[in-house]
Amino acid sequence: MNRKVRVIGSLGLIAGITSALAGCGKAPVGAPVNSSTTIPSKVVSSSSSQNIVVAFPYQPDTLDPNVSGQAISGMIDRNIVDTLVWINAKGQPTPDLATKWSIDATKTVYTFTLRQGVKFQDGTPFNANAVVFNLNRIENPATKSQSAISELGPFKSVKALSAYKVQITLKQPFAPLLTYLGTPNLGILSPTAVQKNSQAMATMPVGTGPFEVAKWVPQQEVVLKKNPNYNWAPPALNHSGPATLNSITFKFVQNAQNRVSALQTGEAQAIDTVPPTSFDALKQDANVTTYDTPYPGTPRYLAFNTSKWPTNDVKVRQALEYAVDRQGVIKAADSGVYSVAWGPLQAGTIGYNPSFQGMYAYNVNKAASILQQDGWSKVNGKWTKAGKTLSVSIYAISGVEDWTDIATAVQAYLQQFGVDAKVVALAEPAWYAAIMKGSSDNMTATYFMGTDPDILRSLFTPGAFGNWSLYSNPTVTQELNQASQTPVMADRLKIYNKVQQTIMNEAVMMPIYNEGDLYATTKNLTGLTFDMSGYPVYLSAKLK
Amino acid sequence: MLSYLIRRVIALVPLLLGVSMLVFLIIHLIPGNPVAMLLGPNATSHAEVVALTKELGLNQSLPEQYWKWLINVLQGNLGYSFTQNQAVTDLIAEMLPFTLTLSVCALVVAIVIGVSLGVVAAVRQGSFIDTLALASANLGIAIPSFWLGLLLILVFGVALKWIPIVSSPNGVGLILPSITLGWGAAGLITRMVRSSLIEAMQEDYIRTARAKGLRRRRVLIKHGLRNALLPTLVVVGLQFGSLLAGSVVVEVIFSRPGIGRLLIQAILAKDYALVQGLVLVIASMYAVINLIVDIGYGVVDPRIKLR
Repeated sequence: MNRKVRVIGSLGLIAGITSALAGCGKAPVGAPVNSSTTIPSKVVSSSSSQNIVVAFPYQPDTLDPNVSGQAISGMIDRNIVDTLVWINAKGQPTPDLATKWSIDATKTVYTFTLRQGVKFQDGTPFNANAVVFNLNRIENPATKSQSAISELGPFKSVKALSAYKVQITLKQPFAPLLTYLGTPNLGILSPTAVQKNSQAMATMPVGTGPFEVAKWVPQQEVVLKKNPNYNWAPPALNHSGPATLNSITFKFVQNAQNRVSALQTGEAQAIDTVPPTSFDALKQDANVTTYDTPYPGTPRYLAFNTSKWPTNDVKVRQALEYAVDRQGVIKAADSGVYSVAWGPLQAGTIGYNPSFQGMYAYNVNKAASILQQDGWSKVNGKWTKAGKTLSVSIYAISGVEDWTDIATAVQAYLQQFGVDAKVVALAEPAWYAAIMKGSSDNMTATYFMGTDPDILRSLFTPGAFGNWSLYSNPTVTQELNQASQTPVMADRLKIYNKVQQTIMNEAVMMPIYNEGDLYATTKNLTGLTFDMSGYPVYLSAKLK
Repeated sequence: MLSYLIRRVIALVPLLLGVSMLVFLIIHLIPGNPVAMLLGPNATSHAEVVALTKELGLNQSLPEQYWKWLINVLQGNLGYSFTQNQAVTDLIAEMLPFTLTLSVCALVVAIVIGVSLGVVAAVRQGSFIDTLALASANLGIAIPSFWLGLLLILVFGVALKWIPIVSSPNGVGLILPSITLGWGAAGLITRMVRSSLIEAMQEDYIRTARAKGLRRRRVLIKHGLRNALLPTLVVVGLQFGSLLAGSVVVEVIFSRPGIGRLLIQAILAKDYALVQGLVLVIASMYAVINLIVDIGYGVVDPRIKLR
């Protein structure tokens, strides 16, 4: 008897530990109600019902467009919120929530006339007060805005002139404002929803866009459903009425290979951020449509540290530029998917200047002769000057594979050329700390997104956060400041061209390739467009 | 017994304190600036970084920061995750169920495979089946889960299309992750059951039972297995702890929600509060499971006295 109890006890304990907590395969133990309900996959992937699944690389930190600083939030927010202006394919602002606007002679007062009859997804009418409320919210430090606040630039105040007229006043001219007003970060949220629960905007933003958030399941997915009342697409998009798709499920699938697999098995109808290694294979696939949309901003590049030996010598920087074969780097690092970049801004960005094409093209002889003129000579296969071997450190963020791959490929070319190059891969926070100090790195792999050439100002002026090159050139600083206050785009572009020329002549950066969002869908998903930031717009998309 | 229990529970306090201190030191000593990362390239100036550092209290000395954290923890507040914009306790409460479900299912897989293979191998000691069972056990221990997981996805998800890859974290979505995670533990259990059953079957009481004329099967299950399972119990208990840890890799491969994936994100972003909170919770669970195993062992085997 006693023994029997013990046997049952020992088996029971094993079973007890294992099953006391849960019945497997059902709902997770004690899961909150809202996260245990998932849409059955069959319903989502059924093509006749206009519901699609997008395999999405990871969960955004917040969907609150006014707070977020991540491109990944923008890709979702673009479909939830509308913006005052819509930037068309040529980079010009066209009407969206604002039908027209004027700028006064001082270039600091913008007056917008707003579209009438627009309603937020919660029924709140859109009007001048909503715009005032949103801009003031962005400027409020308590909102902790990461991107939107800097996009508003030298913002001073905003006021409603009438129900559908709103006026923004700046402290000084800020030419990029209109471009930025077209990015999802400056999308307009429902004041009623924000006042009710500002925190809730992180997962359930309420805008006037063609889709609204139906559900947010942490670390899993966010489901958008069609806004049936939507009838105010920007004229530039040539669409009337609500969206065709009934729902979009952004499923957070961190593993890149799984995203590709999900598309191939039909579990997902679209995947965002296709790994370059799979992109060519998908391109060949008859059932798949691939897109390579450039992000506006800088290309992927290596920033030279202009304040640390030996890259503080412009001759050295120029020689290094010639010593690296970009095409080879792209082949080694990214399966040759992307195109070579030659200048500070990449193809598709306002201000992009194609004239740098071929500047610093791979030419080892030229690189060698520049170094020789600069007093370097080759000793035992290494470039040496005054007893010091030419050595550089290349920094990269270890978590971003592309960047460490680029750094390693560049290292290989430099070593071949006779430079002692070493790669230092660091976790992101450590990378930021090292780069900000600038005392240990010679080059670092990086890139910046931005819809306006004004990003050059945050990269190449002293004190700017993104000035990893620690570059300081009073002429360039003055020109960039001037450009940001010049109202006419054509005049601005002249200045930006001059600045870009200086930066390339002084070899402040080594452009590598034109970065783009690699995106793929099943063939029967059509009508997809991409906005100025390179974000997919699902408004006119439909399943055939 | 009761005093033993109380002493063991009290002993957890310095353990957890030590763990939290160690983790706190390690994550702070790794170089890096979480604030710059948080602001990203959109920060307009260095002044912004300094301001946010101050706001998050990261400019204080380490002991000061640790003390503040500790006081909060004692009040049940694990702090605020600045990268996820949520209270750490909420985040853990939200994600822990997924990890527990996975670990428990993996343990069931491990026990079912491990015990049955172990018994079969012991009974047919030296046969082809024995070799096969041992090979499976060794493979399970040797194959890294990140590779096994991808292989299973390719075979059952992509090639055969039997199981959806990204559709749901529960239901059918649990099958492949549980096998990935459970196979390694199954290997250990197989070997443990096999060797202890073989040992038990050579004991005197087995010979006695046989001499009494009991059926072979009855001898095996009632007398052999019963005794062989006791040492296995310890292995199973400890395995549960390592399954919790193993979920880190499996959750990332299968894009499952859970504290493992959360921990990876937190470490990469140097989200101090989140890393500390997660490690504290995982360490506590590990310690509690060990305690349960110890006590359970005493309950089922009275020869072991708990003092």
